[in-house]
Amino acid sequence: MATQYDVLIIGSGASGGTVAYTLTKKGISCLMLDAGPVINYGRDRAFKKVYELPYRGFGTPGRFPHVTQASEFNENLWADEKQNPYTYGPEDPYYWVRVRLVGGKTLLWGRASWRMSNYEFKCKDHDGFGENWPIRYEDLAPYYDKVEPIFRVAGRKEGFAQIPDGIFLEDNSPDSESVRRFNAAARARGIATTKSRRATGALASSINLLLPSALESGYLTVVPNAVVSKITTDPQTGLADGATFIDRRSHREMHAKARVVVVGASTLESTRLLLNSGLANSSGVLGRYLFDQFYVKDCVEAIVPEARGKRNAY
Amino acid sequence: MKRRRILQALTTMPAAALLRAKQPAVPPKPSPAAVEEIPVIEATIADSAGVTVPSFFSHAQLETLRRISDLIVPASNDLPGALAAHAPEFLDFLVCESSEERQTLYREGLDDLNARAGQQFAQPFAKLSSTQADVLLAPLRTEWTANPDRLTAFLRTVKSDILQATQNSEPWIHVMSKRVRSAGGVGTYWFPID
Repeated sequence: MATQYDVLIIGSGASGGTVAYTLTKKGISCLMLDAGPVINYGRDRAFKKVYELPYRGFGTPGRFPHVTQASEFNENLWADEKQNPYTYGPEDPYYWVRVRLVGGKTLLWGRASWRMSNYEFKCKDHDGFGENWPIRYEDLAPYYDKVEPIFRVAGRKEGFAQIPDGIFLEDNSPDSESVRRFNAAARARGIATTKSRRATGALASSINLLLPSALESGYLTVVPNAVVSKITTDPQTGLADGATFIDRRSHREMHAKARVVVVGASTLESTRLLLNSGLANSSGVLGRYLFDQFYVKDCVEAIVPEARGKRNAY
Repeated sequence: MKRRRILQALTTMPAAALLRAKQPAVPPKPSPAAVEEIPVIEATIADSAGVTVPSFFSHAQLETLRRISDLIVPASNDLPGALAAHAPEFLDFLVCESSEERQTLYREGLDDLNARAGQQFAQPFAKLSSTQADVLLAPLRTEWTANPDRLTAFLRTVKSDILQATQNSEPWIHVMSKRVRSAGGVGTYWFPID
């Protein structure tokens, strides 16, 4: 007979990993399903020279038109856009970045770890634009306090209201010549600057900072390659009681049971799953007003010869 | 023994004896290490052994691309240029595999340059002197704008592609890695994960 877990967690990245980390500490049994395989840093990668790659580092043409951070070195880490296409209106392009691996996008994020403030949460009150969020910075601050030490966020405390200080590893590293020039230019215009605030360590991911302790507790079971197709409900209560999932490699359909279901499969995948399951949409706003992690597509670069350090002076 | 005698002797030998004659007297034994440990065979990249057979651009387009490549990244200071790195031939392959939008940008851009060369200098772009070509490549020296005209967009793209195709080539990296340790062109490659 299949085990019934206390909590079924769909997704293993930032949200799924944090849920597992937190609940297993309280002795709550968790089953984690992820659509992708488990990455093995010892087995799955190797150093290669760029000219050994089939496309000299340009990347396989057409494989990732929207994933701007995909390179020919790491293109096997992202969800393949040809195998998983999506559409949008010509006037409303959307760059959907997906990672189907245990650990999700925490394997590949830029580590920027800035606290948001009430300038964002209460933006309408501040400047009249947008809508106020239903939460305040003060509601979220205790959770920032918990996460920053886990992710070893480094930064410099400044007392800026727009980017509140956090629990940082003090960053006293010297600035590069180009940053010193930038800071001087900003100072001359009355613009304050600070060090970047970012998670540190060799890897700042769910798979090395969140999941290991959850697994060590004995209360977490991780099943990779499990593509959840639907959240199921108890016909008596109408409450979620598990999920139907498909084994990615064999296409075998299976079902897992739990008392509670947590959906943490990224903004759009979670929404799609809820829509496909006919759940959590009594308000009719499911699928609207979404806010996904976004990425920068185009950067303008300039070379300032006199700002070059000696290290790369060629 | 004279050459004729040797040939006569060979023609009269049975086939099996001939084969035996070609083999070493004692076949070499594999080393104990090779028996116990399966070696990784040393191999080289295709670019070291051959050159790309162009199949996408017309002859005139490819000649134009070669001329631009030589102007953008000429051989200098012991560094191989774009031509030595076979950047134009590689770009023929890359553009052939790319989206229709990129293919059109390249084809129209190369044709446009060639047509302008004919109008202004009465010869194809590939035959222009550096000074003459410089006139047609002037958009590369203009200030960056978000929505450039078609020729400028092409020139920016082709410049960037030529640089990358050259600087990521084996000959370029071979020289650069001896000069600057960080210019080895090495990265962490991820295999398909299953």
